[in-house]
Amino acid sequence: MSVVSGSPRVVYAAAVERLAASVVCALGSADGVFRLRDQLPGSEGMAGLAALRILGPDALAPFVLSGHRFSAEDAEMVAASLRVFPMAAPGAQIASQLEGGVPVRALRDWATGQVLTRLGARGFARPYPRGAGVGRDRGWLRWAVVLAQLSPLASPGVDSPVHAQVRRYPQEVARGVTWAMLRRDYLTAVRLVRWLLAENEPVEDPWFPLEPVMRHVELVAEPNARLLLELAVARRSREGSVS
Amino acid sequence: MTSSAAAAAATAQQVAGRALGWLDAAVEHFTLPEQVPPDQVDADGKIKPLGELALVGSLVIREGAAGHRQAHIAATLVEFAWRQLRGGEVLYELQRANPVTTYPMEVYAPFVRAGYHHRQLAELLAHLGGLRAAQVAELMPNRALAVVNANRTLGLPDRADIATLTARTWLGGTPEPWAVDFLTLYAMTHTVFHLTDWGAHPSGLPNHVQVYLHAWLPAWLEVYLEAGQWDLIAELLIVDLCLTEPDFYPQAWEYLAGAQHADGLVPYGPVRVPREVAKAFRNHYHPTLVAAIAGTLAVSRRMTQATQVPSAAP
Repeated sequence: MSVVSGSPRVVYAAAVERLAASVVCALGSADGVFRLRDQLPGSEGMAGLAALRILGPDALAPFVLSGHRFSAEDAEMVAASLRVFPMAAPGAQIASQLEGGVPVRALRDWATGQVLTRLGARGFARPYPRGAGVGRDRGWLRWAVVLAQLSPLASPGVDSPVHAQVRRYPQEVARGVTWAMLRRDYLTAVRLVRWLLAENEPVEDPWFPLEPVMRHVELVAEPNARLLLELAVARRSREGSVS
Repeated sequence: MTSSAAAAAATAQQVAGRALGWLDAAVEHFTLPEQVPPDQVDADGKIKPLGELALVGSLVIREGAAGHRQAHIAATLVEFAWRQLRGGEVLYELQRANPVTTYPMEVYAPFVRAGYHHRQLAELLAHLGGLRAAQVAELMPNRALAVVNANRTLGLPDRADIATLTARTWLGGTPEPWAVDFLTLYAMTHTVFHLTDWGAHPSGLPNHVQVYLHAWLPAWLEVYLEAGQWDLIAELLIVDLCLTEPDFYPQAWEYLAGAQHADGLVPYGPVRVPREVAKAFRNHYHPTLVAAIAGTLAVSRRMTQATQVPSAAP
């Protein structure tokens, strides 16, 4: 494994890419062992822990979606990342954490706690962010942007007022997919597809088929680890949780 | 919706008024070259713009929603175009020389809508429309609908199966809304224009197509607003106004108004516009003309909506 050097931004970005690629591999197969420690070698130090925080619930997808065993050691890695990069304090929101009135970071942290609790880890659950809006009141476009940032919430077993709004207004989310696809913003498009897959049945509803969107992105987009991770989680979510 | 529709219509009225003012001031640039035989005149560069000038004028007159000044400009634009075409003689000669081509008939239709007629051309078109060849013309589906609509406007019988033709268009197929490009959206807009005769008959659009447009028009508008493609934006706004229940899109109207120049010109896209009207005309007459149509329809649809008596509560 090569060691990336350069500015902290470059080092952290490389760590995120590497962890995302590892998660994609693990999602593709339940064979072998997926351990967070192996994905965050000591040489990366802080960058690896930061990557774990940035990917949030998606870093845990192999445990939730592909049957990899979540161990106490994995829980300790998450705890270490939270010690270095603490969760947002419940109820305490600063302006920079709000996207259209939605506490994106706090919601992602809440979802991480939900997933960890589902995996049997204790002490990570936290209350749903108090007074968190869902962002839809400012129109479908801004809502789509916020939803894309919240794509890790579109994970099996996670439910919230945001999910309820997606179930109620799927066409607005699909409109966001259309907008993103036409702008060649495939990452945003797939993040929104995740929401539609997670919250709407049947997924093959002919009014807005999702499989062609995913296949189109797979064949047309420039691949990168973050995009491939979103696609892999989307596909695995579609097939259903195996844990 | 009511207040946002009113806001959109107010903005649209300003856009249309200013656009008509620019067209009026620039009308000399629509002039046909003198002493050039009709079959040697540049059809796309000269004949088509005159037809479009007649189209905007005929729609302003038809809708009857413009103020006195705009209505006067509309009438003078049609009159100017008709004179340029020597009272329809140029179109007649073109159609005589090219019996299979449809564009002289399509250019003639808005003149008829505005009350202008050329007897010999009308006779020729009635004859050509009755030929079996007219039923099997090799046209793109949305172009075939243009011919159907022109026939309707001219009062000629048309045996076309509109439902089948509609189903063969991109829009009629209600495809993936993200699998579309700039030119395909233009085809889509014209499918709507011809099926509804430029908003006169919203019911000409099948219900499932209306549902489809309500769903995806907002996404297409956002993409091309961001790109500053004002010509297409104005066409998409017309599409909305051809629906049974328009959404009006007040924000899009604000952006379009913001892009319009002080003299009324609407730029085609995010490009630098020459100062001289003679140079600006070539690339920017079309979006200005489309904006005038869109604004006219917005005001008209809003007036209709505002004067409808709400049904009594049970």
